Amino acid sequence: MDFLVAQFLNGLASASSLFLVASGLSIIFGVTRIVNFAHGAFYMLGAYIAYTLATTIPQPFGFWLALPLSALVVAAIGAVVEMTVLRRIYAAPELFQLLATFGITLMVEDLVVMIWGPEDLLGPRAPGLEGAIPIMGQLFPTYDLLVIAMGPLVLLGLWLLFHRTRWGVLVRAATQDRTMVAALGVNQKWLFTSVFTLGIFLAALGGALQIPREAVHHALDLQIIVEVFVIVVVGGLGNVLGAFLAAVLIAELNAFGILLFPKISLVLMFLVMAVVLVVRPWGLLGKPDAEARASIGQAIEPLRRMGPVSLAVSGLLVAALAALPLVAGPYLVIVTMELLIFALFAASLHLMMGVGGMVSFGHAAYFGLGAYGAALLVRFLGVPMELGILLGPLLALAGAILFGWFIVRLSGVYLAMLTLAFAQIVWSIIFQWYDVTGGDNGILGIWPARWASDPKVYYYIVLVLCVAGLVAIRRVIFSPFGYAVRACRDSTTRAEAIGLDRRRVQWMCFALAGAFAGVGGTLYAYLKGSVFPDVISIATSVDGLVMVLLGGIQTVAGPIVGAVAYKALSIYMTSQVEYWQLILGGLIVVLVVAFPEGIAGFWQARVAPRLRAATGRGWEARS
Amino acid sequence: MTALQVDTLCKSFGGVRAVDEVSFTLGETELLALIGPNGAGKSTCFNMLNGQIRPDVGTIRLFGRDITGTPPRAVWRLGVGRTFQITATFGSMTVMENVQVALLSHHRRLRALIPYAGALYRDEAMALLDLVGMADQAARACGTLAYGDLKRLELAVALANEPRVLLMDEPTAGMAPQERVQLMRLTADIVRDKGVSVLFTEHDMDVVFGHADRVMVLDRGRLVAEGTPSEVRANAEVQQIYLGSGALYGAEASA
Amino acid sequence: MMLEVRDLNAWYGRAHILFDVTLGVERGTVVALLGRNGAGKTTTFASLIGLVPSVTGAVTFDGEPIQGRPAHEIVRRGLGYVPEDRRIFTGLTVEENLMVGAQPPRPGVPHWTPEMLYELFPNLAELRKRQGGHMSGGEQQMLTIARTLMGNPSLVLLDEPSEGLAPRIVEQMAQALIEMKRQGLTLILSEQNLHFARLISDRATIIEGGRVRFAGTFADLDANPEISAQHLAV
Repeated sequence: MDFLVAQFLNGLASASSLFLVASGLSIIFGVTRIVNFAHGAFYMLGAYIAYTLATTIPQPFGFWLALPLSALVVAAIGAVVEMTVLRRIYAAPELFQLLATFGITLMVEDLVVMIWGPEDLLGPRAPGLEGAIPIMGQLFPTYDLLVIAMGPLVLLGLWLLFHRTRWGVLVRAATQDRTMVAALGVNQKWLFTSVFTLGIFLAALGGALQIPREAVHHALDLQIIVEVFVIVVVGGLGNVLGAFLAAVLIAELNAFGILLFPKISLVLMFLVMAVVLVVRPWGLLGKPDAEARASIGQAIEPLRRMGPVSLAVSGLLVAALAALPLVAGPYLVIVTMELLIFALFAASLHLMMGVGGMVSFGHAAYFGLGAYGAALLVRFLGVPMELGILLGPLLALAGAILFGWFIVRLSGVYLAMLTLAFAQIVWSIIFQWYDVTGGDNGILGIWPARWASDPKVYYYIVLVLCVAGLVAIRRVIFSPFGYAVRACRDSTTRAEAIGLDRRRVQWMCFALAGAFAGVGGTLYAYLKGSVFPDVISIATSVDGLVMVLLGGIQTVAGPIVGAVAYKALSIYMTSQVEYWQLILGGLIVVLVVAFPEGIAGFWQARVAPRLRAATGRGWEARS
Repeated sequence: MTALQVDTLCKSFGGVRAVDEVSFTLGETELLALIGPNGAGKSTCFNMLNGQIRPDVGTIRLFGRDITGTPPRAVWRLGVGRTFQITATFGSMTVMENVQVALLSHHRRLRALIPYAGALYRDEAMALLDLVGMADQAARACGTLAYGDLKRLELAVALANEPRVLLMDEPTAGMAPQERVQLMRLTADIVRDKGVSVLFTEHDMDVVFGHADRVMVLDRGRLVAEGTPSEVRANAEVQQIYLGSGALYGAEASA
Repeated sequence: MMLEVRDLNAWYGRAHILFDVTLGVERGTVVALLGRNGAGKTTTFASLIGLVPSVTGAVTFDGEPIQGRPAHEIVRRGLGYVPEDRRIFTGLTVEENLMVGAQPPRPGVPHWTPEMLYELFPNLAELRKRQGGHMSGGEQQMLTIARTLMGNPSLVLLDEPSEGLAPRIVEQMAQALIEMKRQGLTLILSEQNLHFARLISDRATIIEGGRVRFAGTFADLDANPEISAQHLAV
């Protein structure tokens, strides 16, 4: 009993810290509509800077000055980021904003390693609150009581700020209708900057508060951002009180889950989120998004089948790829296989995201299920490669059918978060089900059949299957079913009014996309000869997103271009540059600011019309 | 035979009665207008008829068959076409493709994964576009159409399943005067040639009084008058709440 | 001229909405902008207030060019905007809605306080703590106007202020607008209701297909019934 109380208080302390970060994220989303992926990075930065300040300013003031000072410094950095990057892309589709903040995250991750080194840093104890006090017979750290108090205090402070100041009223008004606020004489730019700065201040304060409680390290950002996303979504986007309740719920779940269900402790949070979202599609206290936003991938320019020139170029490209092993060395062949596999992965994501309008933060789940499908068949049944390649993707298909049923019940950011939840569930199962999946150690020895053991031979299997997959995806997009998918994305009202069952159509689309990703995953497993839980990690899902967005979501060729460009770049960078994330992140930010429509989209919107104008071919003439 | 029979339809939103005990019938090949001030409940009424909103109370019968609470896609399959007050079209497709999707759905071919959709039902789509005078714009991107043309496209889409009942929510809003007359003539022709029954809402009284067989007036969720155009036009209560003008001149005196 | 618009063109994406719109409004007058749905009235207002990103042409307000300026700067110069569809902040109370619109006083124009607005719109006085979402359509429309007046504008653009309101409310609305005019405000209102427009306005401008088709007094309009017939379908 006493132990349970202590555990409960522990949970509350974590909840406070999570709430600080989540409230900031929620406020920023409410007003700017930006899903700030970099929020975790600012949290981490808050912790690092607080560590430095607390260890350089003499105690006892050092520590207590470090907390607010660090939050202020990071908030100032946040303000600069908002003014230089985000301000330029508020009009861009929300996913590009996400992409930009992801780029910032990459940069910050490398920067903290450059400045503070890769080691874990242990912060000083809080002067005056070093000890512990007995609570029901258990010693409980005094400092944690302060942390527990911070949550409700910040909640109260935010409530007063939003209801008792003009600034707060403006923020609430802008959350509902920011254009109208501007039309009443309020300078949106500064309102956005101030909101973003406040949000980052809270995140950094959350990070700074943690330094006596846990070590500071350079992976803190991803660790917290996922939990905070879950909290914000469970609470209801943009709802601060909801975020508080969800923070307590999730933190207590973590505190007790590890005691009650140690085997599925990692999954628990995501299970709860999945249940909440299925029962309450807009979170505990959230409201349906009244503002109808143009959905992702919606284009004015209709998709077109390839003209003779594009067909010829594609044919030549495939021919060149077929000839590659004759001239290239094994390294280039292996790299090309990886590019092909990821092109298929990105194209499958584009099918559901660009064509279907369903954004996925967890597409890696199906890639990973394809890989593990083959690996498990090899490990337990010893099936030959030929059969493994055929059956492996079925696991991905089954997963997509199962999860898809839930996912198509939601839309927008909530749908995206549910895909993330399911991906994390898959990852956790594979990570924790050691007896079957080998957990962290993965499954080894998934090699191609003897006749295909030469990379140059396996290359042709990959080439044939990936090209076939890409052609098939393209075919589906232009098939009647593809039109049904686009119809549901463009206008659900109209689609339902002409006899389409939106959920069913989207469910099928989701299953198809999962199956194609699974093919990629299976091929990847045989390419690497092994699988590890990494293939399902958030990083892989985000890689897919970056590829699609970089290439351009409104074109069919975009994701392929994006996959090749991004993957080639990251393979090159990881091998050549020490701080490759910094450069990659910077590149992403620059690309998003310069080309908010993506590379292929930029080509189609800006370059192609000029070419057409120059050659005198208007689109009317091509019909 | 009545095409639609609506009995004591009620719908409340947050305690406000948006539609309050509305009953009426739509006869076969009748052009019936539903008019009333904004917010009177016309759109809510429409949304219940095609299944977008489930009524709290009341029944809707389509040729005698109870369709209350049937989802829109099923209502459509039973032969009810719909155009929307705010046009709902597929912005990423061409004009022709918009109609083709409706035709593919009508012929239950939308599950097909292999054929090239753009090549299917082209002639039928063209015929429908021709009917509404949009044939020359078939290849245009839907997102670049003028508002009035979107309305005509919606009509073509609504006709794709050879409907027996058409629900048209403000069909001529945003169109030029001659276009309005043309569209309503076209609608009247369709009613006559194809035996379709039409229920429409409209703010343009020229359209209503010029084309409707019968007019119903809705105010604050209740049907307050019903009759031939001339009867409704002469109704003092309708003049008071909707057709107006007299009331406004009264304001001049008090100002 | 208090507001002078010359050759205004506006685009939404690639769609060209306004074509060479030219307008002039004298101080203290009321101009009615007439035309159908989709004729370009709302786009004209949105362009004047700085809410349409791609606009060309020259707009001068109180002798200073304002085209291309951001919305909040234009509003702070005294150009108030009452949008169509009310667009009040439904999660905020009446008082808070008014607070959002508040701007510092400006010389030469009436300085509105919430109390004065509660006098102008007596319905609102009892509702000051009420959330915007829990008000009737007429009350919301009055709040929209009151909220804009809190910015102490010298010229107010009203987009379809009588749309969808019961005649009784339309009468109150007309009285309020006449009172605003008496206080020295200049108004431009877009209307489909000719009777309402005629009651309040000094001059009429007809817009159709994104072009100005007529500008003059109501007497001129009455003298040329074919103009109304062609562009207003009356």
